Amino acid sequence: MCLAIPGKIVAKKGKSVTVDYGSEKRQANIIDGKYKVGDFVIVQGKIVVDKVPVAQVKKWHGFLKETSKK
Amino acid sequence: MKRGEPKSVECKCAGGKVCRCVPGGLSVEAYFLKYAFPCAFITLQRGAINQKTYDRLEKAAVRGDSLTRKELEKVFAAADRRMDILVRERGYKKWSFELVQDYYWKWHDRFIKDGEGSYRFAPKVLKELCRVLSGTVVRVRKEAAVIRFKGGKTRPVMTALTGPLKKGDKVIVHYGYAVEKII
Repeated sequence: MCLAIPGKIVAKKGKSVTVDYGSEKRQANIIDGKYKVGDFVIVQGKIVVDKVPVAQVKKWHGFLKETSKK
Repeated sequence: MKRGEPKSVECKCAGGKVCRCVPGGLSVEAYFLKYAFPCAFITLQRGAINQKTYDRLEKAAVRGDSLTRKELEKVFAAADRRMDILVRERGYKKWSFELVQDYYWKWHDRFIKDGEGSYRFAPKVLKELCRVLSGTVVRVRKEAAVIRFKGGKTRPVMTALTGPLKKGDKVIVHYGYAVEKII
């Protein structure tokens, strides 16, 4: 129920959001913080944990790619 | 657990063996898994473990079960490597309760700051989530809680590893999980 990459909020209904990971979409709940459609977020368990600035999204993918080789 | 006073007692661990446990009945392996599990989603994402292993780790972490040291060292290789550094350089005993607790409470943040291993490539948000922080429960939700840290920043976390929390509880947080209640 969790992905370690930032996903993009593509739909929001109340406190429930749909997060798009490219290959799949997941549902998550907002219990703290303000989020809007278009934000990149980290989801753990069933909750939105934090927002990731767009500038860091690419770095995040690079990090996982870099560290996966080892 | 009172912070700064690690104490262990004898209890029954994997295979019925007598081993050192922390109050609350966790073995040192189970205690380590509670702290390490929140970063298993990175390991899963990298493809180092599969979903089946992840699910098994989650179940054990939630229940407080012991897994073998061999498996934990393999799955959480980076934590194991960093704890080995502490064994070599700081004189801790391998797989002692003191090492596991000090690693997460004291040294983990410094490894992040120093950019040890893969932290060198980690984006800022990830490094921040990665830090082991203590905070206070300010709101309780179903299977989750909102934690406020020193400085006022808040973060929502899952409470699967601690069990239900109540407002005012002090907890240690790692990624999106409350890991342990503290006094």
